Amino acid sequence: MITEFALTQLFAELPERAILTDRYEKEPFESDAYTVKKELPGVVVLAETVEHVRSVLRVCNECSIPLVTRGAGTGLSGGARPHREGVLLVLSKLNSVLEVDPLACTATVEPGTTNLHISEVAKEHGLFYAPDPSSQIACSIGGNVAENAGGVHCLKYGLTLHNVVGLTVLTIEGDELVLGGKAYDWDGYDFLALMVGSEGMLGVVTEITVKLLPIPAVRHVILGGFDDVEIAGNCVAGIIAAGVIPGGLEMMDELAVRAAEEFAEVGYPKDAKAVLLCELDGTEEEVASTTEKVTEVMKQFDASVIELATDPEQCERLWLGRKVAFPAAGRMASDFYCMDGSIPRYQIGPVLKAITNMSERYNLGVMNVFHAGDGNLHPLILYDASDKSQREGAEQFGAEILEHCIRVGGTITGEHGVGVEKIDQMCSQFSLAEIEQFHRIRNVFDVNRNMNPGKAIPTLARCSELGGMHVHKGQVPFPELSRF
Amino acid sequence: MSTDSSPLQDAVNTALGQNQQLRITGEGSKAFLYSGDTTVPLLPTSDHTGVIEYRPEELVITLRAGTKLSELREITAEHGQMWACDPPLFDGRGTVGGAIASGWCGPGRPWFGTVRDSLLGVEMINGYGELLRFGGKVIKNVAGFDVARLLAGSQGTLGVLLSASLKLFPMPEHTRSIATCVNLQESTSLISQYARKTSSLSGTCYFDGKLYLRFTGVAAAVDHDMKAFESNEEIDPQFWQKLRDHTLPFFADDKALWRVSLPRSTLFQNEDTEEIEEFLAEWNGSLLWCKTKNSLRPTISTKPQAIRSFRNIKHETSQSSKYARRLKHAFDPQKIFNPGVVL
Repeated sequence: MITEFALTQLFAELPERAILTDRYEKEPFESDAYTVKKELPGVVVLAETVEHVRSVLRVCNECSIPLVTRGAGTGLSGGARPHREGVLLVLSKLNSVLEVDPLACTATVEPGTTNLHISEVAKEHGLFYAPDPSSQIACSIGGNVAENAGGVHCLKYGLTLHNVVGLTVLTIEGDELVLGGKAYDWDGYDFLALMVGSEGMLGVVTEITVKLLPIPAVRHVILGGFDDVEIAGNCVAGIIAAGVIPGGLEMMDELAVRAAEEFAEVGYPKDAKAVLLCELDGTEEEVASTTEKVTEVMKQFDASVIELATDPEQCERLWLGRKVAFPAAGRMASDFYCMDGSIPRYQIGPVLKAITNMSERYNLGVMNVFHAGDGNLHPLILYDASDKSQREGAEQFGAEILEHCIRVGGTITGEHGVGVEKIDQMCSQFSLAEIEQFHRIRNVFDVNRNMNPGKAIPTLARCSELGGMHVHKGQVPFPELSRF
Repeated sequence: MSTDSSPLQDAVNTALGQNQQLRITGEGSKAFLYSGDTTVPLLPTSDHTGVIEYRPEELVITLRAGTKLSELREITAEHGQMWACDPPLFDGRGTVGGAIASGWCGPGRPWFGTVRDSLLGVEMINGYGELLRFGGKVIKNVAGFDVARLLAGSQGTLGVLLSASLKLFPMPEHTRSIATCVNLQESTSLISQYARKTSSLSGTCYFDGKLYLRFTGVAAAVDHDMKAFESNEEIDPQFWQKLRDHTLPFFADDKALWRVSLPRSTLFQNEDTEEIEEFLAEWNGSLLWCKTKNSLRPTISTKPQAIRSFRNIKHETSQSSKYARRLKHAFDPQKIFNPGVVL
């Protein structure tokens, strides 16, 4: 709880304008982009300097106050949902680009810097930052690190994890950890790998060094239309098996194609059951070769339409339909619920079929538009939030999709994070011993568990209540732990 | 060969019960790097071998930790694929588990990434004797802390690795390499020209007044990049394997060898460093192998990220940080695994 004493401490160390206590000032911060569960933060701190961050950490540690860190608030899993009795530390104002090193091909930035801004400043050196979540115009790099954000181009260039080379992190105990750096390796444990995707539970990132890549000389986009979703799914595997790693490889189902067409009229084949968008980039010679290979594979898989875009304008047009898919879904139904399961590629066809069956059972529409090359599904469940039964149905439908992803060897989240949204499914994906190991790791950095409490890692009690407890030969795991 | 992990789990539980310690080992190919107590009984994983699942169209292989790297290479090459981080086989042996525990990568590191980059999931036994699985077999997975990747380079201090799922890459269609006689400065400026353009460059090595470059990729792209070096000597691509496995003449003697990791933009000038007698630089000049006068620790003015005694020198003892100590405790509270190894 935020006591008078704690507030006094904050006001003593921070400028008054940086602390929001008034209900109306705090309201814009009551959720991130996962708006299902909102909470008014106890107090909001808009940090302007790293010193402000230090002060907040110190006060939260000394007074044992829950601390939730957030950037732009574009996260989709509620990882930055505030705590009613805690501090919401907003890092958006820490948005300076500290250095671009064109020789090392790195940029060092503050956490509030937007993802796209890094590529903008790198452009003059012929470089760019590869991970591109769909929210890249708004999302902050600090949030990308917390969630290990992905995007369309992760298939070839990797996730945030693969593109962050250094971090400066403040722990709640006030220690500054400098992890990684510009060298290709370093001594000691890979705490950098642990921090990326830790959903704000291990520390507050104050500086990030990212890897920059040369802007590819040539970029082509190939659109393939298919008469069968499963065959389109198999074509994805075929492209990869042909030894091609496309810059991006996206799939849209019939409903998604129709929605995109109605929204933006980009010229997709309206009668196709599925559309693949394959981006190929690199040197002129490389792209010429991979374009030929991918076209050949699409023919082998009986694509009914193959369209090749070679100039930037044509490429943009083909991508437009994919980019407007989410707003287009918004026109199909008053609300949609975006899932983020990740599965082995060979399961794409069967899983899409299973989702179609679920859709009929729940009597709710579903539209699929996703990163097929990574096996990262984004089913959009269409529903009306004002209808209680539809709302509950959508939640159950989503949970069933995730359980199905686990069953076929996948995971409950490919790039959006667990947050509050998928915390119950963590109990399905991990054993109690594994969850307990996560808690021990958490204790390494935050023994009092004040950093982003209630997110990402469920308590053992919660998993037990959900029936996830596995009783082996009549023995309850962790008999030493009290259950409540 | 064993596909059952229970003997390993039993061994850990027995050690826990009897308050004994264990030294985890594969084939022992990197035993010279071991800085811990060598009197502790060995826990060999070299019998825990075999591929659990390999779907080439997924570009993912799951295999037991004791599987030899040479076997992994053979199996994946049959399907035109490779484990791109290309860990060394110092004496022709080496296991997947050892490669992950050490975290060492081959000459393609700046272009193809590290062991941890390609590590999708693991199965392990922690210091509580529990069998745990983290990560998975899919490319994108952000559920829970990334314990799998934390194990890369952890030198067996956090637990016994049982199996791992690795992301593979298609083998390049074409590889060509050249050697050109240049001085260190010319070498650096030549390499830096490639930093900001897309090219097929995938390996650099400088020593003894010669720069070696490797180009890999689709044939047309490689041939295009090679045009700039028409007048230079084309060399056998085997050179890069010899570099990786330390079988080049540079590594043949018994002199003390230091490994220095430099920031990427560093322009290393050996004139600053009197005690370095001989050096070899790979990874765009960011990784130096140094032989020094009287085995002295090299002093390098350009602020290296890490200097490590590598071979034929007594390993330096280091102090671990508060968080490293706590992390060790979180996995292995009784300190049974690889005692004396400090990270």
